[in-house]
This record gives sequence, C-alpha cells and structure tokens, in this order.
Amino acid sequence: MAQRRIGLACLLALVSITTLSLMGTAQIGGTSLNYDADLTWRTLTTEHFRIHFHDGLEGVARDVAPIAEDAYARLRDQFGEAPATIDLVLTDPYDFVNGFANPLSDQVAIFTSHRDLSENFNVRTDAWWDTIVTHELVHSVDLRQTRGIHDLLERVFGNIIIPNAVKPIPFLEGLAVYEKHKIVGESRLNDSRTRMMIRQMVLENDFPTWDEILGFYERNEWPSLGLLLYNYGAWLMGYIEQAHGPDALGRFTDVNAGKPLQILALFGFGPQFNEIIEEALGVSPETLYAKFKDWLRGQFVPEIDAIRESGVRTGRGLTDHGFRTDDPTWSSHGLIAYTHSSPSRGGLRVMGPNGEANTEVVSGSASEPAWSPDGGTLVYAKLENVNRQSIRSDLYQVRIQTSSAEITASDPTRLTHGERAISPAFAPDGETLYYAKQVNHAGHSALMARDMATGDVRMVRDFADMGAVIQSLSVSPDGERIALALWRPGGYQDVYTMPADGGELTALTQNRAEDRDPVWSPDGQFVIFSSDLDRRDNIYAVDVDSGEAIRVTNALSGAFAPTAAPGSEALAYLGYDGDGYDVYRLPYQPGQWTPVELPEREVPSWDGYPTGNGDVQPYNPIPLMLPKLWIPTPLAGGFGITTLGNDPLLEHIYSLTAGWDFERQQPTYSLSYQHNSFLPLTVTASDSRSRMSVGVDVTVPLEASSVRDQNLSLGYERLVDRSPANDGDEAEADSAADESGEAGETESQDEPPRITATLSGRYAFSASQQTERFGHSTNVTVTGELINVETTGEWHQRLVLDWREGVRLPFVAAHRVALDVRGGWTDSPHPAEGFTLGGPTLENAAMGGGFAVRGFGPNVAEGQQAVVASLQYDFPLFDVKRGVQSWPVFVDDVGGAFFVDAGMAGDTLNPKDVRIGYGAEVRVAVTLGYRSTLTLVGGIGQGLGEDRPRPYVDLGLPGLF
Amino acid sequence: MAATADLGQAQPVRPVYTTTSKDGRLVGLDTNIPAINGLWKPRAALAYGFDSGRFRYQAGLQLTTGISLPILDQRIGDPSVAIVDWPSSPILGREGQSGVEVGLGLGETRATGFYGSLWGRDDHPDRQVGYLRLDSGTSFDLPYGVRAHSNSVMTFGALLEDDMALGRTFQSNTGSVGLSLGGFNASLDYGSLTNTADLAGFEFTTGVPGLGGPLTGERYWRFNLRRTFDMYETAIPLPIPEGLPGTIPRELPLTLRGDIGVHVANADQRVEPEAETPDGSSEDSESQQFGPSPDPNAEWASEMGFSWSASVTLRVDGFSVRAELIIPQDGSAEVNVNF
Repeated sequence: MAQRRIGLACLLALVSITTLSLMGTAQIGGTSLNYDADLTWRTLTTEHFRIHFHDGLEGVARDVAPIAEDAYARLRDQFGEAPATIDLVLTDPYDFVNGFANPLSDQVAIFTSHRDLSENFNVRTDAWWDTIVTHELVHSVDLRQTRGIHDLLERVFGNIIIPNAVKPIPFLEGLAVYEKHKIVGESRLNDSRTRMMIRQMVLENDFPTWDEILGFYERNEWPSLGLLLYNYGAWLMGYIEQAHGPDALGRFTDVNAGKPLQILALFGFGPQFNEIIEEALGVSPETLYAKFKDWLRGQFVPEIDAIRESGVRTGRGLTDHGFRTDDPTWSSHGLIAYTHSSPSRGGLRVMGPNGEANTEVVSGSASEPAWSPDGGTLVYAKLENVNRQSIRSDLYQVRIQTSSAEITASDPTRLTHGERAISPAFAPDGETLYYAKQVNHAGHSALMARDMATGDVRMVRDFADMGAVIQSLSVSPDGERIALALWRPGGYQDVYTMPADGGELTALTQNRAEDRDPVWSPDGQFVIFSSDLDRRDNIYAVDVDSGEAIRVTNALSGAFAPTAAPGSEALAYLGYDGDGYDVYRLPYQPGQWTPVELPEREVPSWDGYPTGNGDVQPYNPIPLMLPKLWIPTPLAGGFGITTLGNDPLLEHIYSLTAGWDFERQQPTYSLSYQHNSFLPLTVTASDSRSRMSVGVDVTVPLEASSVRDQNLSLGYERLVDRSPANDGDEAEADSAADESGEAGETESQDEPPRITATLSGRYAFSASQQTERFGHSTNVTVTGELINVETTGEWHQRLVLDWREGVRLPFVAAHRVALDVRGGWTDSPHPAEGFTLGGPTLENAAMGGGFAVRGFGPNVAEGQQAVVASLQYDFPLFDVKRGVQSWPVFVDDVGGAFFVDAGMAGDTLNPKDVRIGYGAEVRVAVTLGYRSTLTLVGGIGQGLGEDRPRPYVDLGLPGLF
Repeated sequence: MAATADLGQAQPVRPVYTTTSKDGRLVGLDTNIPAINGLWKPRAALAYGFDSGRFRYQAGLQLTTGISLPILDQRIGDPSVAIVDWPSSPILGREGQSGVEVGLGLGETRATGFYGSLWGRDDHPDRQVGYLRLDSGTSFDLPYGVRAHSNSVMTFGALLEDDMALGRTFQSNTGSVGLSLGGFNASLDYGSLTNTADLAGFEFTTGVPGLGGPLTGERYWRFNLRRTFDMYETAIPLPIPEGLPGTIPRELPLTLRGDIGVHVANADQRVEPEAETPDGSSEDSESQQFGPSPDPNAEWASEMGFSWSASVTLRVDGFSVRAELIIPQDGSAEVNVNF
C-alpha cells in the first residue's frame, strides 16, 4: 500500500512539476487570463491557429495571424512536426511585456503591452508580435517534439509525453531567442545590450561556468539568470549551429527527444546530458563550452580593439551597486535621483553630485524618477496591482528634504490610479507634469499633461493613430517643446521634438538604431540621448537648431540614460561593467564631442491594423477543453487514467481520474473543476475505497497589492469516510487489524462509514514592508470549520490559526528571524478532526504543515487542542552555486538556522506539559531537472527531557515551519 | 477594590460611581485640572458614600516645576502633597487609603510616600501604615520602527508601631517589558512580593483571557503576543446638504481590524511547611498578629494559564463593536462581544 502511494505521489509530483513549470506565471493563483469580466472575447480562426482576443484587440489579432502562420510554417519545416492547431490568446492584463506557452494543451498567451519593450527586447522588429509570438511558438513546437519510443507513447498518452521539456534551459529559452533571430532577423541575440554583456565577459575574461547556465536557481550575481539562460544561451545555440553544422540543433533534438526515460532527469536520474551532447554533437560538454568561449573571444576581441583604437571616452563611477541601476536624473539643486534593483534590495535613491550622501528614499518598485523644478519633489512610476488579475503602472510622488549631510523623504503618495502612466517630466514652471500613458490594448501611447494644483489631466497628443509607443520624454528648459523617444511600427525608435501643447513631430533621428531617453541640455541647445547606432550604446547629442549630431561617449561597454547637471558642468549617465549598471559622471564639454553622421531612413507609413481576412466567431470554451493527455494512475487496489485540461482563457480548469478498484470490483474516480470567470470557484467530487466526497470552494479576493494581500475562502464538503479510523482511535483499529492478521482496510469494510458535512471559512492576510536594510512581513491565516456528523447528528467546530512574523535583520543581508505560532482547537472527539504534536517527518512535510516540535519523535501527543510556537534565526552559510558536470542537479546556496520550538497537545492543555525542543539545521537549495528547486533540510534537535538529540531530514516544502 | 468610571483621562471632570465595602454606593466627581499658571496643578475629588454617610475626598497640589540636571539629562522636582480618604490604593489587595501622600519626581522615576491607614478587607483597620513607592518607566524608539518600553514599580511598606517604629513589612516589585513593530506586540509582566506584615489579600492576581478564575501568588509572570492588522478601511459618504458649515463631517470613517493573541500567565504561591503545635494541631498563621516570617525552605506551588484568541473590531466613527473568540487551555471556547 505504501509503495503504491509513493508511486502515485511520484507520478503526481512529476506531472505537477512539469505542468507548473511549463504553464508559466499567468496561472499563478489560478487567475484567469480574462482579467476584466466586462470584456467580450472572440476567436479568429486561421489554418493552424485559433486566436482568441477581447475588445480592442481585433486589429492586433489580424496583424498577428500572418506572423503566426509564417513562423509556424518555418518552425514545422525545421523541426519536422508541430501541433495541428495552437490556441493563441491575446490579452492585456499587465503593464509589462510577457507571454507563455503551455505544451500540455497547445496554448500560447501573449500580453500586448509594450511597457518595457525598449528595456529588455530588441526594438528593431516590425512589431512586438513578431518577437513574442515567434518566441512562444518556438516553445510550442520544440516542446512537442518526440522521437523513437516517445512517438509511440505520445500516440497513446497524448501531450503528457514531452521529453524536450527535460533539457538545460539554454536549449529551451536560448533556442527560442536564437530561432526567433533566424526567423525575424532581430532578437535579444543581436541586441546591443546582449552584445555589451558578452563583450564585457570577453574584456574581463570572466565567463559564467558551464553549470551556472544550465538551469533555474536563485542567482544573486550579475549577469542575471535570465540574461544567461536566454541571451547568452542564444549565442551558445548560434555557436552550435555554426561549429557543428546547420542541422546540429536538429540532431540534438533527435537525440534528446528520443531518449527513453528522459523524464526521470527531473529527479536527477535517467540519461545524462553529457551523453546526449556527445551523441548529437560528437564533443563533450566541457569541450563544447571551452570552444564556445574561444569563439566568443574571436567575435568580440576585434571589436574591443577597434573601440580602443578609436579612443575610449567615459566618465567616472558615482555608484557601485551593479545589477539594474537605472534612470539617473539631476535636480535643480544638484542632487541625482536614480533607481536600483538587485536580488537583495530595490528602490529609488538620491545622492549628491559626486555620489555622496547616497540614500534610499523609496523602497520597492520604482522607475523613471522626475524632479520638480524646485528640487523638492520626485515623481516616479511604479507597477502595482489594480486588482488580483491586473498590474498597472501609476505615478507616485515623494517629498525630498535635504540638510547638511542628510537626505530624507516623506511617505509616497499616489497621483494616478490604474492610468497606465510612465515617464513623468515636469514643465519648468512646476505646475504641469507631462507623462506618457498607454491608451489602448495594442499598447499605443498618448502624451498627457496634469495640472499639479488641481489634478486636472488633459491629453496633449494621442499617438495611437501612428501606432507609436512613447519610451521616454523630456521638457525643454523654456517649456516650449518636448523631446521624446518614440517607437513606431516597422522597428524604428527615434528621437523627436514637438510643441509642448501638441502639434507636429520634428524628427531628430530617423533610422533603425534604438534611440532612447532624450533629455535637454540646460541651455536648450542639445537634445542628448543614448543610441545603439553601431550596435553599441553610447551617448549622443543633436543640435536642435542645426540638426548636427555628435557622439558624447565612446565606451568599451555601453552608456545610457544621460542627464545634465543644472549648471551644465557635467553629465551623468548609466555605465556598465561586469557587475552590472551604475551611475557615471563626465564633464559637459560639447567642444570635445565627436561629430558623427547619423544615417537616415524613412519610416514606413502605418495605416492601422488590417481589418479583413479570417473568420471571427464568439469565443466558445467548450470544444477547446477536450482532453489532450492521459496519465496512467495507480490507485489503491486498482488502476486508473488521469486527464486534465483547461480552456485557453483559463476560465475552466479541470482534472479527472477514473479507474477500477479490482479488490472492491467497483469504479473509482476523482474530479476537480475550477471556474475562474468571476471568482475562483472549485468543485470536487471523488469516490474511492477510503472516501467519497463532494465539495465546493470559492475564494473572494479582498485586497491585492505588492505589500498587502487578503482573501476569504468559503467551502462545503460532504465526506463519506470509509477509512479504518472513522469511528475512533486509529491505533486501536490498526491493532485490531494486526491481531486478526488481516489488512485494516478489509476490516474496516464492515464498519459503517462516517459521514460528515463541513462548512469552512478561511481568511488569509499577508503584508510586507521592505526597506534598504530592514524587512518585516506578517502572514495570518484563520480557518474555521463547522462539521455536521450526519451519522450521529452531532455538530462540531474546528479552528486553526497560523501566524508568522518574519524580520530581515539590518546587520547583514539574508539574516532573518521568524516567529511562527500555530494553534488548533476542536470540540470534536474524533481523531480525524483532532491534532497531533510531533517532530518533523517526511509525511508531515508532505502534508504542508503540522504541529511540529523539532527534537521529538512523531505523534508524542494528540487531542482536541494543539499549540506550537517556533522562533528561528536563519543565516547564510555558503554561496555554493555548483552543479556536477551536466547532471540535472544543481546545488544553490547553503544556509543554516538555530531554532527553539515549543508546543503542547491534548484534549485539555496543561502549560506545564509543554514540550520544548531546540537545535540547528542546514538548508540546501537544490535544482533538479534544470527547473525545479527544492530545499533539502537536515537538522538536529534536542527535546527537553529526551534522552538524546534527534536528527532529521526533510524537504523544505512550503508550510513545514 | 474600588473602581471608578473611566470616561477618559483627558476630561477635566469625571463622574465617580462605584461601590465599596465601607461605603456601599459611592457617587461623586474626580477632577483633572490643568496647572494654574502652568505651575500649580490641583488635585481634587469628592464622593459621598450612601451606606456610610461619609464623604470621601482627595485634595492636594503639585508644583509643576523642577530642576534639570544637564549632566544626567534628568529633571528633579514636581513635588506634590495631598490628603486622601479615597477608595483606591496602589497597595495590592487594599480597597482604599486614608492619609497623607507626598511625591517627588526623580528623572524618569517618581517617588511617592504615604502615611496613614489602608482600607483592608479585614485586617488591622486601625494600624498606621507607611509606604514608599517608586514608579519608573521608559520607552525607546529604535531604528526601523521598532519600539521598546519597560516599566517597574517598587513598593516598600511597613506597619507602624505606636511609637512610629517600623513593624513588620510588606514589599512588592513589579515590572513589564515590551517590544512592538507595526501591529506586532510582545510584552512580559512580572512581579514578586514579601508579606511579613501578613496583609490579607496582599498577593498578585493575574490570568489570561478565558481562564475560569484568576491565578494568585507571591510571584507571577504574564506573557502576551499580539498582532493587529487593518482588514478594511473606508469612509461612508453622508448626505449632508451643501451650504452647511464645513465642520460637519461629510463622511463616516469605518474600519475593520483583526487581532490575534497568545497569552500565558503563571503565579507561584509559597507553600509553607506545616508547623506542629504542642497539641498536635497545625498553627494557624492567620491567628498571629503579624504573621510568620517567610520560611526560606518553603516550596512553591505554581499555577499556569494559557489561551489564544482571535477577534474582529468594527469601528464606525467613535463607535466600535468587538467580537472575540477565546480558546483557553481547558478546551472550552467562548465568544465575547463588546461594545
């Protein structure tokens, strides 16, 4: 019996890991892609796609259709096979760009905002859809590749056979970026920032190790993991094709997708990646990676030499944060505001003109700060939940005060609510705040002006008619004109000026380079901006009157986001080195800048999205939910089949297990259905040898933001409990079974089942407050149940409280103290509703919590009440980050903890009987199968009154302590 | 012990409406008058006991000035004197006190001396008593919003012989320390006493919410963990016609606040070894006028109490209703609703 359970657990874990990993972030929390219940959804059908879109996105859908079909044809030709039909969802819940693919149901979701297109992607593509649709389709096609035995298995079991899901992540994400580059001609592969990152690696001869680029883990070094897996990985894919032939990646797929038992690599077993590389490419991974680095040197050393020969001109560093430092802006008082985010902290910071008095003034998400002309106010953009399903960018302001050597800030106040506002910039009089706003679901922008005194907002100019997206803007010193970087269809992001009250655009640049972050020189003569004119980012300036262009910097790495000091004595900008981005300063000397000739290229006209072609029907989820996979499922005493599915909008999600109990000669089933269109509603029904239940659960989100979250869940379940412990003490039942020599389950079949109907309510509250050096978080969950025992007519109550306070200490990063309190009470004498106190076991961990006192054995006390409290101090031990060659096992950081636990349980509690344990443990984060991170815990606890310390090992699953 | 109707410390005049064993129903007024000329702060209260037919009073004056000692960064002064015959006393188990009270501030400590009689429930009604009480408290605003506080009270008293010599003594020491961060609070109260004066009822009384009876003893501690969190906050617009003065509120603030707590308390009672009398019976310590001296070999009997609770408070403007579920150690659960 235990083995069957373990087998079932392994199978479900395997399916869960694969499914959760592949379905992406959009399903976290069970939220629907239909973020607004008022939206009407329709479907555009093409030869290989059903494109589902809501109001305001039909034009985009018609634009996407040929892009998707073209990419599909290319990918099918290249990979050899592709899903017959792919469901592609266009939706607009977030103010950042993203998308995901789900190979289990052949679905792709595309988020249509262009909010940070210029930050993280290559703007030279004709449309954002080129980039994201092609990327996700590579996943859809690549992950469905099967070879050999897997072909047969796929015919039997459907989409659950996805051997290509198990391979190092660069062979997934890097492959998508590389294939996208081959199809579209542009991608992050040849983006100037990616080239800069690799050029810097070559320059410093500091490459990531082979094991560092294979899978997901918590990386706290620059370059970020995403840059390594996607961008750097794309270069690796490119090298493989160049060095081993244009069919090399195809050979890799043939081997990888044909290896039997490949899925076992998720658990660290099965065919190893070394063998697959050697079989497909004829070299060992070590040789492959060494030659790849040599190839990179060959690519970039000549470029580095050329830059040096042309004369490097950069400034001196003012900050030393690394990672994502961004958006420096100089105030009229000489202070520099900028943003910074790294794994350990993030926020808006202010410093003196030479880097002194560097102070975090806002903690958390913040971008694009803008000073008021009097230097007393900073307005910035911040992403925040509008509701549970959507995240929007809004403007906030904070008052800044300076004394002799100290910079202080007020609490932030919010200026806009759900307005999708970015890029604030004050007019010189301080009375008007200009900003960009996303005005439609296709991501297009308008320039807005807000009267700071009255709060009235007017639209200065709408750029939707030209399909344009504002990247950044700046107001001229005389307040008459506005400079802005504008992305336009066709892949043109250029710098323009226009009258501050609207009117015609005047192009300062007109080419395929990524021109961004324009600012005015204090005298209004120049518009200064950054451009990747020669695929290297540098600061440029254009004389507004003459149109002459000059290059300000010539960096070995890159230079971005310029800002001029109020007295024209200096420029500050973003520079880059091997640790990431930082703020630099260089003298403002136009006479020494280098005149350059900017290429000119006419921007193709854009007449709006196509309106014809393709059949559009109302969205109908039912036929889209048919099962596409079948999972053999061992059951207690029998065998069954599990399937799961969802509609493309994730409004309907279900799983069904149906089977036969050979011992009982009865069918058995388990059904779960989740409906997400209004509130997350889940209906469950199951019938097995041990239990039959029907239930319904609804979750009401009360509040959702980046710092607070509240929700209330209400549920009902009717349970027929046929387990041996249904009428009393489980131990007695087991004992009786042992004495009779028969299985307890067989014995129990003579007992009348216990039938209960339970009404439950669960309230969950969480809040967190993080500053640069301190963090405090609270999680409270209260669960109450009203239980009616139908067989006796009794009513019982049950209450469970979970309370956790966590503090990140200010002394050293990653040191934390946590207090956990958990209480349980019931007036039911039945063990099934009671509570058990005991030390941690694997079973407790799998149950996701319990009343654990480390240092004691399991089940040391039980009864109608239980209370435990735990005080724990966590600290980092070693920063390991090492894998074993190409094995799918990667060891991340190692941490330690000291703890004291106290708890008691019983029908009545006597505080004198409290059990106290103390000890220490070591935690190791391990990534298995390149994508699933677990925390392995090993510890030793000493219970007071116990003879000896008690060691334990556990999986650090959520909710254990 | 007497209790007064607490309608807020800031009110200049507060009604007194209570019951004492001496006076039966007691009705009157207490005052909280600001310092006159910023210097003289009066203390005055008067109440009438219907059963005793007596007036109870407090009358005194505090000079709100003192000397600052820059070196110590402390202030000494604020002397006060009062005559009291009033149904309250800081001495454990006393219902009230009659006598003269003087006070002096010593930095963050305030010393209070008293001479007179204590209203016990039974004992030594005519014995004169003197005591000295030292109250001190301080709080710290630590970085990152952490706030800590500590308080301590030491009381030393004695029964006075006819020649004003000190007789048997009584002494108590109590303290509390606490830490708060946002809505999180942790606090520990503790105390110990000696009672060679054998004052009946001179003992600590503590407990936890939901516990059937109090815990009493000569030593105690009580530990509370509490977390409050704002669940909902809004303002209900009121249909106030335009043109009315702006002082009339246009909306009604409404808040819903959650609260969870864990409470543990312990009291230790000294168990004196039984002393055999010549006739073989146990000696009744109560029969001794001043009581026995504490036996250093005595053992302690402890009682502990434990409970946890969760509550929701709805506040509309100044009105609030609180529903609290308390689960004490005996497994019973009770719901209290307070307005």
